[in-house]
Amino acid sequence: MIRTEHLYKKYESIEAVKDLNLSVEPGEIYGFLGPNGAGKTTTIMMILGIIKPTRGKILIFDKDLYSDYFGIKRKIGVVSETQYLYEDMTAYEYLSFFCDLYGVENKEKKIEELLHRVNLYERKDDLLGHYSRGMQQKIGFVRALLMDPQLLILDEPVSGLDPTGIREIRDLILEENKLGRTVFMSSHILSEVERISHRVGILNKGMLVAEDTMDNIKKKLSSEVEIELEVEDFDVESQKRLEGLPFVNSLTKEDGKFLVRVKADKDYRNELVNFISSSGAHLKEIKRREMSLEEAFLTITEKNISLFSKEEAGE
Amino acid sequence: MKRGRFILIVSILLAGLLLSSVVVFGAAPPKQRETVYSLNVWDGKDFASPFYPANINTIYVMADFQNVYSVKETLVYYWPISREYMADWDSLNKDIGDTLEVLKGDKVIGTYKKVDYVFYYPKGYWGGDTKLYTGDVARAKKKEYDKALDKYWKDVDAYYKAYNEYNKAVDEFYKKIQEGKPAGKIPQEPKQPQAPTFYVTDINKAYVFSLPAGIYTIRLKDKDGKIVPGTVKSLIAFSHRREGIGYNIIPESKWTYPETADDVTQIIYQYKEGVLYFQPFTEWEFNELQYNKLSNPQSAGRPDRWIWVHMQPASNVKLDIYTGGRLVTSVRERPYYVEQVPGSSLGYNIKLLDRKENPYGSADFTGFRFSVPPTGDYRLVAVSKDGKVIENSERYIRPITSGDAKNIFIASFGPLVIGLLIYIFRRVGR
Amino acid sequence: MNSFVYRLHSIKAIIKREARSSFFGLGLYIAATIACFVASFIFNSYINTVQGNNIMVMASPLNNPLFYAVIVAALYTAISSSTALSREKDKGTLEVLFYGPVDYASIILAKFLEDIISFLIVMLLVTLFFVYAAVTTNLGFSITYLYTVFLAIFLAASMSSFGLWLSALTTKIRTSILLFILIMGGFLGLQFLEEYILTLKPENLSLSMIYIMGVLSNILRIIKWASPFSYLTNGISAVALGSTSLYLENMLGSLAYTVLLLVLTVYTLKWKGVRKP
Repeated sequence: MIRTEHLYKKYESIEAVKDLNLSVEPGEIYGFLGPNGAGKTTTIMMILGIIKPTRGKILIFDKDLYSDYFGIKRKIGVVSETQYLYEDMTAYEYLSFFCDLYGVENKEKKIEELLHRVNLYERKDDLLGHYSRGMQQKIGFVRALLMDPQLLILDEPVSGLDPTGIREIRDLILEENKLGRTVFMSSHILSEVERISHRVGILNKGMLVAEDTMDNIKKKLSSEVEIELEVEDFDVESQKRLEGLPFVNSLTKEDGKFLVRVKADKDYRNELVNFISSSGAHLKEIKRREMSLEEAFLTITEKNISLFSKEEAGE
Repeated sequence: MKRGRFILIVSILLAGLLLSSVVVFGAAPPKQRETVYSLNVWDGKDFASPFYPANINTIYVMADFQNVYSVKETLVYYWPISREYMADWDSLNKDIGDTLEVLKGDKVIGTYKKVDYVFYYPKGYWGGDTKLYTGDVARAKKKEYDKALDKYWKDVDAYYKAYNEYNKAVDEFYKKIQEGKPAGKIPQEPKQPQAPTFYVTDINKAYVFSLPAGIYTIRLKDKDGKIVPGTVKSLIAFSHRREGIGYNIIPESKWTYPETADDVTQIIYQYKEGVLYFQPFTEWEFNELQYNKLSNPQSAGRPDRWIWVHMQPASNVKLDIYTGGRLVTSVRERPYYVEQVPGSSLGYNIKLLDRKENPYGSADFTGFRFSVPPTGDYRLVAVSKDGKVIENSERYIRPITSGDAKNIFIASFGPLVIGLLIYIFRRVGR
Repeated sequence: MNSFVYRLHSIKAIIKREARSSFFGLGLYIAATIACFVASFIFNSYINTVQGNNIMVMASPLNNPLFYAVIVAALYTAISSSTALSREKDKGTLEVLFYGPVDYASIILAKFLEDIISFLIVMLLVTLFFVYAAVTTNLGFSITYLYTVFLAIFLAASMSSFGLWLSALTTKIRTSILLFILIMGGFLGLQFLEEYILTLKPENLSLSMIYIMGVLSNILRIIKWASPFSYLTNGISAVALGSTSLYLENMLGSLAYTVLLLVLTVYTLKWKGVRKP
């Protein structure tokens, strides 16, 4: 759906985006992450043609943007972090304008349907200047969905929203993805990205340092996995024997539960269950404690690690 | 210190530079000997007498009319008060050259020698209607004038003699009456001789010719056929663009403040109802630049502007006035006189001069009278004696129906009212 | 072909929004009122003249008040256009438009055409007022009124294109307005300076001053070409003189100026960007 090839942007002496090769597959939700100043918004602006790249290629729907500028733009819905609205217009007038801009047919029906979805139909005749931030964000979403876009580009879509608002937006994104829309989403709220993204791309200092599913990223970052066990009647000798197993790196006790660190090469939960039951102890709960996306993100960005192999990086 | 001195010197130099550009008034302007053209050019009504100093390179004359050209040496000076160059003819007025040539492109199309010429004023020097005569006719006219003048002076002599005799006869008459003797008839006073009503100038020599419209070059050659330096100039003979009828308009209520309506596009506005007197003139339309430079080569004018010039009073015409296609009235020229209201109150009346009732009266002006009604829209045209409407004679007359602009000022707020209504309607509608 | 149709579509949509905003705002009506109010003074002077002298001879009496009304309307157009892009950039709404099927040419053309539409609405209101004034006073209408209004559209176009270019140069409304006042003031000042220089007689000046004045005069002539005011005043002169050639020359000159400025505006906006500062 989106593909960049050696995308590069330099402002005077600052390299905002360096040799970016990302790809967003049709139908997926792609989380685009990076610390402040990593170049995420610059990348999005280049994809949208608002900023001209210094060099590199951008393909949307397998086409160069400028080969079919209007055709491509008509299929993209964009929600920015801050909603810039015409405050002298009502919500209905605003959406009607964008329907006209995008050439949406049956615009009255479309606007009504979408406003109902975000529970703003009753407020359609209020001036946008009187809307709260959350309501404005929803209007931004509605605007982005008016033209039944194939691609949704979201830049910090839940920024500044309360938990209810975040949930509503999350549900909206998932619903739209189920309808077949590809979502390219940049966000700081890592838990949300982790929750809904199929793949993530992590940008650091203008370079894409990781692009994969979350599991794979975490696997690449960590050589061991933590498994939490809640066990009854687990004697000391059995604990020692467990610790001595070849795939076990360490065994600790935390808040009445045992924390086993095992190698990350495979899933050792079955082996552990078998061992405990053979030792005569009673296993109440077994839980795999995974590295969170936040931990992965911080590890990558603070240590400036690239998870691409030399071949993948094009060296 | 060095920098300060430098600044001071530069400031003094700059001040001196600026001051040097100021013209000193009161001192005698320097005079320069120059070869100039001095012309008598027809301007449609009379002959103007422009001169062309060396810095003016183009001469303008009216096409198809005879004009008088002289080339002279004189003293030329710049007169700052009127901001123009002047000629000191009294100090130096030397006729030079032998042959005047006119060229179109490189080809000589006319070669002229000096001829005798006079100006003939049939109604006296200030009477207008000036005519130019050359050659034998000029000499004949001059002879005629001289003869008339001779006769006049002889008549004046005879008159004085007769008057002396008359005085003697009157004394004798009264003496006889006093003595009670029969005196006979009362002596008749001799009639004063009338001076000639026409005037003819002295015979002068110059180059006299007319040219069709076009751009030419003019130059003077001496007896040896050499071009006299400073005499090569461009010569533009221009013609008028259109002919029409223009009007002097005398409002009855302010007869000493006439207006003119020269162009067809001009509309005559009368305040409500009132009487207007029209004086039509034949007029020709000239290019403003060309016409202005005809009589004053040092004047300015816009090349893209056209002006109407009154030629002669239109004779044998009537004025027809229409409204909505219907003829309202047809008026003819009549003489009018102004009668002051007697007594202490100020005012006057304009009355028709009826020769039968007032044989000795004189007209203050002649005109075509039209009483403008308080409303409506009127169209005036001049019609020639053969019944044809004269081209470009049409004018519209409109009475201004309102003397109060208050309503107009109020109406100017109309757009704001409309805007407020729309604005409020939208707010309420929400 | 598709691109052309899509672009037209975008232009239409933006014009509709902008026109709506103008129509429901007050700016347009205030401008029309000022234009009519200024014209009222001229009408008043006519009535006073006729009353005082009992007669007034004039060709196309509506031209003079119309000239002033056109100046006011054209100034409104220029002020409005000089903040058109900077206002949207400042508020961020310009960036949002570029998320969609809008490019530099379409946004500029849309703003420009909307300015012309607003100008026409102002002139329509002014015309209604003129009809009222002409009928109640019996001054009457002439065909030159229509010639002037038609030419005024071209003059407004050059004012609008200039204003849009200024607007593309700046990112804040305040800067746009200040720049507009500064440049317009400068152009007006240059115009007066040139007219003053033309009144100076060479005979009154020293050689060095003549040289300086000559150089200055040439510079001013070039700068004047860049000023939309010169098209406005030349156009008014053309109608006053009744000169068809000058009228057409002015119309074509305004058109060329407008096209050039609009193209320049596209490149300026590309260079400056559309993102909120």
